[in-house]
Amino acid sequence: MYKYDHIDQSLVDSRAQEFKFQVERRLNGTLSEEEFRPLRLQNGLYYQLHAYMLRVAIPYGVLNADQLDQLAYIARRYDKGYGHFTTRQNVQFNWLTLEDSPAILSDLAKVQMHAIQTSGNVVRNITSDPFAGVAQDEVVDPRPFCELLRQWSTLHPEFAYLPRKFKIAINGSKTDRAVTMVHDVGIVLKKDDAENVVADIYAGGGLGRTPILASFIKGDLPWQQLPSYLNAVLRVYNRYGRRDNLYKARIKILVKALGPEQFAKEVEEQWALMKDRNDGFVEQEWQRVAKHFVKPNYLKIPQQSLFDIINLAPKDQQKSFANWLERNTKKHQVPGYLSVVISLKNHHGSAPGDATAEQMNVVANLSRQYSYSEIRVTHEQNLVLADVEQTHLFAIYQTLKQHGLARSNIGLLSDMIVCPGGDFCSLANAKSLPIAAEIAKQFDDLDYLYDLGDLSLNISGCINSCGHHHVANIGILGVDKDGTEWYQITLGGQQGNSTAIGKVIGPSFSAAEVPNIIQKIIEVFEQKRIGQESFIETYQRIGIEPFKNKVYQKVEQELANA
Amino acid sequence: MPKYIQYFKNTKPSIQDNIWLIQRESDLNPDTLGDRHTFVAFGFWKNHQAALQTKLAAQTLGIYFTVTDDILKDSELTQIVLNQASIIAIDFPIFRDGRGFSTAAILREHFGWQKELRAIGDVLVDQVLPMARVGFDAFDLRQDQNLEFAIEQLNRFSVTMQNDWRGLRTTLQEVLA
Repeated sequence: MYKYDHIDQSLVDSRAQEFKFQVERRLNGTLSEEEFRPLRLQNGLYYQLHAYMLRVAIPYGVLNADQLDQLAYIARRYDKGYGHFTTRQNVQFNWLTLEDSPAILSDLAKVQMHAIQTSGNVVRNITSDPFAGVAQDEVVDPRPFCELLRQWSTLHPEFAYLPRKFKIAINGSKTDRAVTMVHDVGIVLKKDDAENVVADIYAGGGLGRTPILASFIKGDLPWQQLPSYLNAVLRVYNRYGRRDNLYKARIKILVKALGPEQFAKEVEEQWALMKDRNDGFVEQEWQRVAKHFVKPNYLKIPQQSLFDIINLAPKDQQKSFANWLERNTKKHQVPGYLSVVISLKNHHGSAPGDATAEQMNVVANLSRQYSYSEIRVTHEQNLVLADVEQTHLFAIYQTLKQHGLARSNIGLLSDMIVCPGGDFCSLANAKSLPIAAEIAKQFDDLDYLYDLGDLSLNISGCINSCGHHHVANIGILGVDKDGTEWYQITLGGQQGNSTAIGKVIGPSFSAAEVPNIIQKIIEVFEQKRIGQESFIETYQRIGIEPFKNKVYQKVEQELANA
Repeated sequence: MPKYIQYFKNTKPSIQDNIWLIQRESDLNPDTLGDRHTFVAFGFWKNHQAALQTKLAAQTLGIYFTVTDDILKDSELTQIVLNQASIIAIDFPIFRDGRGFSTAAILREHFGWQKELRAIGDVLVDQVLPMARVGFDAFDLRQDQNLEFAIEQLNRFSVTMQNDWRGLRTTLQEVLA
């Protein structure tokens, strides 16, 4: 993975120093909270319901073992012994003090980490495919491009005070694993006929109050020109994005208002003014970054059959190990290797995406032993060991199991994406974690979950949609009705190449009703399912009506009886 | 005498006496401006071009752009101003409104404005560095701001990740060195 040179280190050190100075001024009263707020946000520091929360950047979701150990150290030293991995491949600490924050940033800088632009109205941490560089269906390894753009976006002087936050995702595989189309800008990397890397640019996607998929605005952009083209996109947004209404300030509203064609035209006009300057990446800059992403020295090992791998386990563990292999490993580019997904869902009743300091140390050590000391974070809030030899799988499984990390539920109903919700977040309308816990309890039987197959269920505690509920097969959204917490359910959303926004099923439900409603939705699926159809396939075949009828049946009956 | 920060390209930032007033009144009689060095809004100038011509030519009139002025869509009039003015300012009504950053970049890059570009309005210590990078070389900070702190901020970073008005990004500098 990328290693800082003196340039990166100097920037991060100066930034930590700058923030220390700003915190000092805040604490001695020379800087008001109103004016401090955007400064702390640009350094990832939020003020939540109970304490300060620090969001640490994990650029495109890649970190090394020492960094993960440092996160564990921070969790122990400054927090309550755990951290929370987020849907933007970052990590959050929920129980910090303002006074400690400069020291934490210095501790992060020691392992080449920071919290720059993890919040605020700026270009945020760029997200990507957690299987970048190892995925079997990869066309272009997006990591060097992510890193070049991470650097380009870091402390960009023109775009420090955008109308709203700005999120960029990059995907380079046949399958989209970065929910690219729900980003402010989605970049799809591909190769042209001469094998040059080019990018298709999509703009104006987003979730939140107005979920919209991004529109195509530019095809076949040579990758070297990404900085000037993105400058043009951001300049149009910075100048014309709405600043009068927080809810209409994202670029998606501008793209929608102008229409994608007009927006693209405005961008082209801006771009024409700047594309001939020397903003483009040059070969030496490519080398400076790309040398860190060369393939490791993979061993030439025979591809083993699933049968052989399962036989690594003693008889009494073979069934559970086989399930884990099926759900929690992914195909690799190199024969004899697989990627392992470590589920951070539903172990010991902790919140989805949470990992204790001890678990972080365990995963860091596993990566040292078995996966070139590298860990990935997925937007589904799990961790990945990307380069694992098949013969090591059982050893890894055993270690994970000892530490409550071997839940075999990747892609299943209990692999929920959940925002921190009303238990932590000051924006939330409703709690999301207790709902997740209740659903996890209700759907605890793994054999049952395997039978249901691939099914995504995501929960957001408010319309900001951090839990990505819009793109879940079953989405749950916390809403506020006269001061009480209610939950709206959407069906039919999905991520991947056919990304779609779910449809609202009808009036919302109380917290107590939700697990039962989910049960009813699943029952309809089981009744209507043909063969091994997945939930989304059945839904697309039969539509929302049968679900609606079942879910609101009782209500209608009561009305009829009344 | 009020102070401002001067930070011309390839120089060190310094604190200087500020002789420029800012006239924000829109229904003012332009004849009452007198001889004092005064900034007026681009919109005000548009409405009183003839009356302001002498003052502009005498270089005691500065023009400031507001966040709603679109200098590209209004490029002809912008160019007329730039041809005659000795100093231009961009107004920040509230520090978190970032439109002025793009206006500054466009003035420098596209219009090739070479003379002084001053940030006025809600200009705070913590915004001067990105301002200096996009093209501002003078900062009339809000009255309560500590100018020494602002200079400290301007000197804080020794590397950049993007080209800016002051120079090339550090990686490219090293390639070319």
